Parts: sequence; structure tokens; C-alpha cells
Amino acid sequence: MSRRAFLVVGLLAAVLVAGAAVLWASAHPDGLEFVSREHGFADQSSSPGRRGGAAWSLGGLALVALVAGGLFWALRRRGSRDEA
Amino acid sequence: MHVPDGFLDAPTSLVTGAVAVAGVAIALRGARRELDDRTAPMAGLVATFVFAGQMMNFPVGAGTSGHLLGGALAAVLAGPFTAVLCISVVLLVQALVMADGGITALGTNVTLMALVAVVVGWLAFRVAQTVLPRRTSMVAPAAAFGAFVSVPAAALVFSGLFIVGGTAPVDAGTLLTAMLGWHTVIGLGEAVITGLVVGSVVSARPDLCHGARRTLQGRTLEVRTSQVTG
Repeated sequence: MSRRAFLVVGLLAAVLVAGAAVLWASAHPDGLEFVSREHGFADQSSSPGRRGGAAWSLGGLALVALVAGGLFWALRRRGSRDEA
Repeated sequence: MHVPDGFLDAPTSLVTGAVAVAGVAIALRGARRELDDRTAPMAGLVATFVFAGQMMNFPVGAGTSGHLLGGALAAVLAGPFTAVLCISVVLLVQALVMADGGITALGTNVTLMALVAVVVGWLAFRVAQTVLPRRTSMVAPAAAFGAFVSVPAAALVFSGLFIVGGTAPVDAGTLLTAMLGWHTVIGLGEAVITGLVVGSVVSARPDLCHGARRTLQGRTLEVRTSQVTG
């Protein structure tokens, strides 16, 4: 598989997982949230609920791809490395 | 495992914020050695995939769910320094855009998921690699082990932080038991997902998996002349 094909397949997989999460992710509280309710400190949270839905999820996904991709492209060593 | 605003008091949040800044600064230096023209796009993909994976909550029973933290996954695929940056970018976007994890708790979340989970996951992966046969097929099982260990490790550190700097009184013993218990189960899910994803990458392009390089070094270059006329 070429590197370009690999990246395209990987990005598609990420979009699919994000889409599947919008549709099918468990709505139950996660481990920390569950424990915080059980131990009576869930109410200490002053954060609003997490945003969901396809638009926010896919927008967030695109933002991560841009920010992380840009950061790593800027940090990389230029030129091809000596292959070990 | 995203800590919201208000769980930890200000001094504790300041300390975790300082730890996070120091950790990211070290990672920014170290990641230069892991990133080149070939691996930089791969690292961006890893961050993107972890962001998607963190949204996919899976049920773990009794009305509780878990989701991928991705620390071990990112460390094995992109290298540990780059993984710290991958998870930090994911957490930054989640806090600022998705309202997932508090903004004042960003340092805490980076400490737990980008530093503790990545470092513990990577070290456990390397330990497993030294124990297992040095073969490319062993990279995914070793990654799964690192992933499994990384989740309760992060839960343990959160419990410690809450016992020291939590905004509500809790019994240390029961909090530790509950956090470690649930996150050991969630760690099994983390291990399965990490093992499957790393296994897929290694079977397609082992050279793009940072943690597989050591196993590839022993391979000799094979020249297949029959394929020249393609």
C-alpha cells in the first residue's frame, strides 16, 4: 500500500469512527463520571455538557487534523532521513 | 476520563498545569527526532484517529462506559514524544471546541492522558517487547499490553490528585478502589482497540509504526529481480 493510500484509508477510518460515535456511542457516563456520581462529587463540576452531533464532531476532527498535521509538518526534520 | 472544571482546587490545577507545560515542552524537543517527511503526516493521522476514538464510548456494564485514551496507541504508532503532542492537541480541541474536559482542567487532563498514559503505555510496551520474541507480529500484542496498563495508571494519578486537591471530601480507599476497578475494565477495551489498530497498521505498513522499527532492523534487504518487469 502506498503511503498516500495509507493516509487516505486512515483518514476515512477516523471519519467512520467519528460518524459511528455520533450514532452509536454509549450514552452512559464514563468511568470517571460514574465514580464522581457514586462518590458524591459530580456536582463539583462547573463545566457545561460535552457537545455532540455530527457537525461538531466532524468539525472537531477536521480541526485536530489541521492543527496536529500543521504542528508535525513544522516540527519535522527536513529531507529524507537515512533509513535504518 | 476528562476532568471538568471544579473537581480539583486551584493550587492542584496550577501544579498540573505546570507539569503539563513542562511535559509538552520536552515533547516538542523530542518529537523533532521522531518526525520526518514520511512520519509527520502519519503523526497527524494518529492524532485525528485518537480524537475520533475518544468519542466512541463503549459500554462496560452497570451503566458505565469507557472510551479510548489513545496514549499507548499514539506512542507505539508515532513515538512517545510525538504521542504527547498528539494527545495534547486532541485535549486542547476537546476543551476549547467540544466542551469536553474543563478549560482550567486542561493541565490536569494533559497530565493524565497525554503524559501519564503515554509514558506508562510506552514503557509497558517496551517492557513487553523485551519479553516477547523480537518479531513484527509481536508489536500489536505488546501495544495492547501497554494500552491495558496505561488506563488504570491514569486513573491512579487522578485519584491521587483528587485525594490531595479535590474539592469534595472522599474516602481515599474507596475512591482508589472504584477508580482502579472501573478503569481496569476500561483498560481491557483500550487494549483490544489498540491491538487491532496497531495490528492493522503493522500488517499494511510496518515501517510507518514507530514501535515496529526495532523489529524491522533485523530484516535484510531482499532484491526480487522477477518484479522488475512490472
